[in-house]
Amino acid sequence: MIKKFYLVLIALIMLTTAACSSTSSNEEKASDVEVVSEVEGTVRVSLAGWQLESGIDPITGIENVGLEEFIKKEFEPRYPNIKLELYQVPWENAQAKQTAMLKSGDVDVLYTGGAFASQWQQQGLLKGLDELIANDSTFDPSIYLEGVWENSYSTKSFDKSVHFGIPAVLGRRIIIYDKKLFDEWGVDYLSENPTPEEVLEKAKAMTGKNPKTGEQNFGIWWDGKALNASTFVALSHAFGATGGEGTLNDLKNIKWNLNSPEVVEILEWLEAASKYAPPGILNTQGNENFGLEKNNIAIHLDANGASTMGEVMANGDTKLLDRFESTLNLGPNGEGWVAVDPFVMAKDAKNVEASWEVLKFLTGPITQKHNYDNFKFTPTLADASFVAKEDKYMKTSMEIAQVSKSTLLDEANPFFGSEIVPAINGFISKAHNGKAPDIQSYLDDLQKRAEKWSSNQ
Amino acid sequence: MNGNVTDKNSRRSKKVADWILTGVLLIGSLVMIIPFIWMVLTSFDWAARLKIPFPPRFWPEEFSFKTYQMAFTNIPMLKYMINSIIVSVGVIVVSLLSAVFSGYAISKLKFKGANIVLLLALSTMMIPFEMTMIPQYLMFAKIKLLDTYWSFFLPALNYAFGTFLAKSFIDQLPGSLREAAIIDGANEFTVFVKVYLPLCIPILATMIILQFLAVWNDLLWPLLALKTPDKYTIQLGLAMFSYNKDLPLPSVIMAATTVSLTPVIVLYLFLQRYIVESIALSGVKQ
Repeated sequence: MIKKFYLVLIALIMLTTAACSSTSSNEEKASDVEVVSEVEGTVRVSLAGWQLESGIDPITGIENVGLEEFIKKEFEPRYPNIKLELYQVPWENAQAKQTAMLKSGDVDVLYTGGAFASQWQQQGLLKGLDELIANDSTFDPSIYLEGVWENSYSTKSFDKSVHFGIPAVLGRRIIIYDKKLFDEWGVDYLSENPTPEEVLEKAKAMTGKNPKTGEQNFGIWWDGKALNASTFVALSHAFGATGGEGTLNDLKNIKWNLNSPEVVEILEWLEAASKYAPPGILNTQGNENFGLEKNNIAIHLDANGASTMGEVMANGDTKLLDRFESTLNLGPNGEGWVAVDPFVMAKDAKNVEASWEVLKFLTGPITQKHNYDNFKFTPTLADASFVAKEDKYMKTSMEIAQVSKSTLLDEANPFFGSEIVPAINGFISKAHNGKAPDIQSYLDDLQKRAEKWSSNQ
Repeated sequence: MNGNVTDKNSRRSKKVADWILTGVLLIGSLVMIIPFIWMVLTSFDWAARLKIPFPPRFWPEEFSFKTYQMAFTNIPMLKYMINSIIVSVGVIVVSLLSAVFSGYAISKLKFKGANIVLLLALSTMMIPFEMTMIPQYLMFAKIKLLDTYWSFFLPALNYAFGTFLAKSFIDQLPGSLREAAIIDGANEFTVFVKVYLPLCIPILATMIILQFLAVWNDLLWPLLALKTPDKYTIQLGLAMFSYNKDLPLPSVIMAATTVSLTPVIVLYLFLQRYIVESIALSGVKQ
């Protein structure tokens, strides 16, 4: 027993010693920058998911610089009188935590998910930024991608009258295809802006035993249980399905159109495509080799290219980059689902002036470059010249963001998140198992539920 | 002769029953332990850092310690573990003291309304934490104890299940011990501390394990109550690995989880003897 006690004691001492030793390189010299603002104050910033400590990039395995070190080097010299208090919040339950912080007045500036921000704006927890933007000649909204700045519910209110968020990070959802598999099957590459019919036809042609390798190939992959049904949204652009008429600021009077011929076409497409996909799509699985040497999937919808870029950056081998080509999304101009994560300001921010300076800095080009260089976050800037030349996936996703518009089929729409997404995912699951329900009746039921929901608002 | 045959048959039946029981227990153990083994093996699979392979594989495709390196460099794992130990120890001390004091009082002092007190305490267990967390959060915000470890220690004063366990355990201990001590001139506190508390070690060990597991694995309340990263517990640290919501980093999370489980296993190894004892003793009648 005493031996065991000593063993644990030694282990604890070792833990304590290790925990108290510092491995960060905080003593690095600050960059040679000029003071931007003399504004004074303390600003409390809540960051969903950002990495504060310097560490290792999960994709490339290369060392990266965390936010704390970056702030020391780039923020503090520019804003010597602003003290930042950084609260790191895990994505898991970020909404609950950040809502509690907002309600109790414990935070001034937040980085969060677009849908969360949109809900807080509706609940009156966020500060409208229009006045601050108008009174600040140093702030130029045109530096952001126009499609995101003007159209996203993650930064603008439902009636588009209030700007409450500044876009900081884009979600990447592009089409990527494997040229090697296309060559082996003798199929023409996808066009730059493929239609759903083209994708389906080529996916069908490449499902089965690969004529060269004899391996099982699948024509297509998409996330069959995506929380924002991103493929469904891209298809809605392609088939011209708006989901209804009206606006999200008047939920009661939305004229739903969920059982229209256009939505029927989308479900028919999903039913057909599910035959060419691996079983893993029902569980966000089966694509772990996509973008890598051992890939067996021809077309990946709503991909991000992270695996390929990771290999390229880690090994400097650009062969994979040539092999995996990207295209715009399925909409007529390449539109698709574009996730936007913004920075927002609490309605009860203690020091608005200082908070605004912080918000500008954390969404500005310097921070976006830092996030791209270290964490491969997709920038929201119109001119993101710091994006590496070979990073074609990032460029494609920014092109999509430039043209995409929010519709009623958006995660900001409460009925979309709570009812439409599960219905679509449920349909994909049934279709993939060969038990697709009658589409028109399925959508008629969804339409009825939507109408009832609106009347209860 | 017949008796010998019956004995032989009965021995054979017992042997078969033992084999079946062993087989069932073996299968049960495998079912329980395979996910654990899979977790440890996956934690060495660098190739699975971005996605879990489908179908899942046991053996790492690209064996590496990088996942562990990543776990220890991307977030201050050790600091979070120390924080968790501080929180766990504090909660255990407060909750155990509260549980044995109240358990003893209800069991041996026989005051008026003792059963009502016990029922009231137990009824608090019926309300899920999700219902009370926001009022609790607002209360701690009001008294300015959020982002301090007091927000963990103070709620531990109400450890109703512990009170129930302690009361049930102390019920088994003879009341004559108390009477004898009082006749010898001991006051109530001395009776409790010197006579009954040493006998309560097995149930205390059980409560330590239960509370340690609960506090060590808790994510929801630390997520709400703490905001300074320096004070985060290990579960918050683990949750932090999905810092990019599109990158779940499974093998890195497995590595961090494997490390985070070490204290739980060590504690269990230390206290398992007492737990068995407490269960055995609870079944012995006076």
